[in-house]
Amino acid sequence: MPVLTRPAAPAPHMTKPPAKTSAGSSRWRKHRFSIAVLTPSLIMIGIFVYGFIGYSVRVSVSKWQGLNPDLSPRDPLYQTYDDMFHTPRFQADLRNVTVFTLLFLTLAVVVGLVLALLVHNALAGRTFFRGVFLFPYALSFIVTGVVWRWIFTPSTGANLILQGLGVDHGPKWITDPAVAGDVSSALEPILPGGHFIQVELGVPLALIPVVIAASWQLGGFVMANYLAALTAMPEELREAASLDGAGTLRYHWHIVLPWLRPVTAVVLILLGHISLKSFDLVYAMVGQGPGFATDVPGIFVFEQTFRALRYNTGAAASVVMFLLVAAVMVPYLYRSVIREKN
Amino acid sequence: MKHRIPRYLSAATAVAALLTVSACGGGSKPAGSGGSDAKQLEVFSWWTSGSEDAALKELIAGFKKDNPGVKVVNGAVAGGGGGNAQAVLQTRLQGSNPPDTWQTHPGAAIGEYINSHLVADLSSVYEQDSLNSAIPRELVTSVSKDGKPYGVSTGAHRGNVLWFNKKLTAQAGVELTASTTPDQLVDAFTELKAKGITPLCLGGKDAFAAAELFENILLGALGPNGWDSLTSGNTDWDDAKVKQAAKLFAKMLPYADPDASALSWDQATKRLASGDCAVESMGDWAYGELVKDGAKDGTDFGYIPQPGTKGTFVTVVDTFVVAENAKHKELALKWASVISSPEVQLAFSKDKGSTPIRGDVPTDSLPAYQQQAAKSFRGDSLVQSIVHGEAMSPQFQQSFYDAVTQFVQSKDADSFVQALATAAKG
Repeated sequence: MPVLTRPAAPAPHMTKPPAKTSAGSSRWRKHRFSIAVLTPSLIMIGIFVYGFIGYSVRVSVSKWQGLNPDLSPRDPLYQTYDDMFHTPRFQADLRNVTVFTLLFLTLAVVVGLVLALLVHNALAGRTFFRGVFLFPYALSFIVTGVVWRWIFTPSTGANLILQGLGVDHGPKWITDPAVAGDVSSALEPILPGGHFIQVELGVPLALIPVVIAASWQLGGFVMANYLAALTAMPEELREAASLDGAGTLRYHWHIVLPWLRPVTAVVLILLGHISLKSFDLVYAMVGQGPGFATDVPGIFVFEQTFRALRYNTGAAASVVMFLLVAAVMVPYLYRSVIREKN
Repeated sequence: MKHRIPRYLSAATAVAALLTVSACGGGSKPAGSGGSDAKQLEVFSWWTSGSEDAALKELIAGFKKDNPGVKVVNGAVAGGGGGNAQAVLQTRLQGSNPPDTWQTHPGAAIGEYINSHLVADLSSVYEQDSLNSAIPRELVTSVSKDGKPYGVSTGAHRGNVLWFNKKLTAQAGVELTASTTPDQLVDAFTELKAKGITPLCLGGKDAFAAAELFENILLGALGPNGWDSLTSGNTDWDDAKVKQAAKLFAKMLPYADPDASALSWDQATKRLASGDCAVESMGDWAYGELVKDGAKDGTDFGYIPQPGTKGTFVTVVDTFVVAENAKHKELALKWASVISSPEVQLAFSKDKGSTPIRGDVPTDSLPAYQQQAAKSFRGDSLVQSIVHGEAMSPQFQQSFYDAVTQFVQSKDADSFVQALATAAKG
């Protein structure tokens, strides 16, 4: 059919004559404008992002403690890192941020997904519920933190409701120093260096209320992302599925969830890096917690730098945080670059 | 066809690039609004709560009376027990943009600024106002280096006070007096607990609160001379007496409010006022908090020096320094002079709940607690606090907090003193 034929390639005589100058300089001329426009922001990013990352690394291997910058290197260079990884507090911080991230991502995604499916399929009040569930996202973490601290203070908070229901000894919530599922004794013989691990490796129970608070705040954000994808879903998919005899469950499992997978990836990246960098919510809600049960690297950096004036340790901990975030971001960026190329 | 970049765009690019570079290089000049000729003075502090703010306003009012026409910029930063202000101040100091004058503590805290040559020599102010004869020698030494003073102090808080709810102690038939020993205090806890009362108020969400309790217990075990020997490095931190103090601390901890780690120090103090727990070891900034919560001195609450520390006064002193490269140095020096005057110190102490530093300030217009504290201040041995960054370096202070946080859970006295000994060696 003529409609489907491609337009013919232009005749040779219609193409531009080849440039007289060499290929390199013509490319230069062609891109000159974009380079000129991009240069200022490249310089800015170079200095304010990469320059400062480099500076942080440099401070982290220096002797800088106290108010006067002292950038002379420590011997050996990694000494600050070595000391830091041996302190029980930093070990607890790494454990906490890992546990927190895993639990928080799971809970926030599940909550967001369920809410999105409910709101998407609601018969009435869709806009209303979307607003209600998204609202916590508009609050500051500090506000959320303070309120949830009141709720999870054992003798005055949620436990009073439990008491009303007949439970006399409610959970200890954020005051609970226990670590569930400790595997450090199992790891001890495997890991080199003997008594390197000085904390219990497991799930600190005091972290769970923080996970609940964070998921409460960001569940709505996850929902909004899923809702957008659900709205963009072609109606034909549902029709085709029902023609093939798929029930609601099978439809959601085999059609909706795979459709949402790219959104899930984006959401995990976004929440993952927020979670690794978390400071304000934890600081306002629980602080370092009983026996550092809720301490996170963000608090460690703040206290080492500004209270203890150990600039090198503070910088070392932020470099570790940076690497953690990079471990989440880089594969994602790499994948999207590859996809763009194709 | 010529495809040239418009000249103005290249120019703009060059300017932007230059600006970027110069913005990073030009840190040596003081930035900020108001030239050096402007008649204004920036006062930096972390005093934002009701009583603190009122006390700061007294200082400002005193200054304005002597220097009419000068605008005082109150650069107070709230939050984090001064931690947030500390962060802001350090950023400004690193950027060579210091406030004219700022709040700190004597000892190691002011030492950081002196050693970094960030603060001005105040010998002229001390000479002009003959402060050397009016202020206790220890407190002049604690703000000095090589015989030159660098700070002017306004008031002293007492760190080693034990506050108790009188109704609860009476209910349990417990009597706490100045001669109560540490062991008797533990017995009192047992009796309170037997009556179903939470014995020990503790605001464990603030890392300093448990550290404050331990500091006071430690002072009781060492006495003022032992304290000085420990903090100056003549006694090691794994000394038997430190371990003994840790064991006593461990004995008291089970009596603490089970909610402790969810409470800030002021919430814990509120619980004492409302009768939810009986005893709290806390500096006398708690006094203002108790009064604010509606409790009455003598009928609702009482106070004694922390058992074992009678005759010793842990000083937590408010001190102001003047920036070496202050934009308004002359005014800042006048500020230092005004805040050391007897009238201003008295007005300040009334609001802040502290004791005037000067020995010649009449205290009979102050509330009963403060009169008693002033009497102790003028007669007792004065020692510096570790918890508030005076007696030891900020590095050690942080390690002290961390070790205490760890110990509250582990109760392992051996590794506790070991951690402190390691930290003290640097």
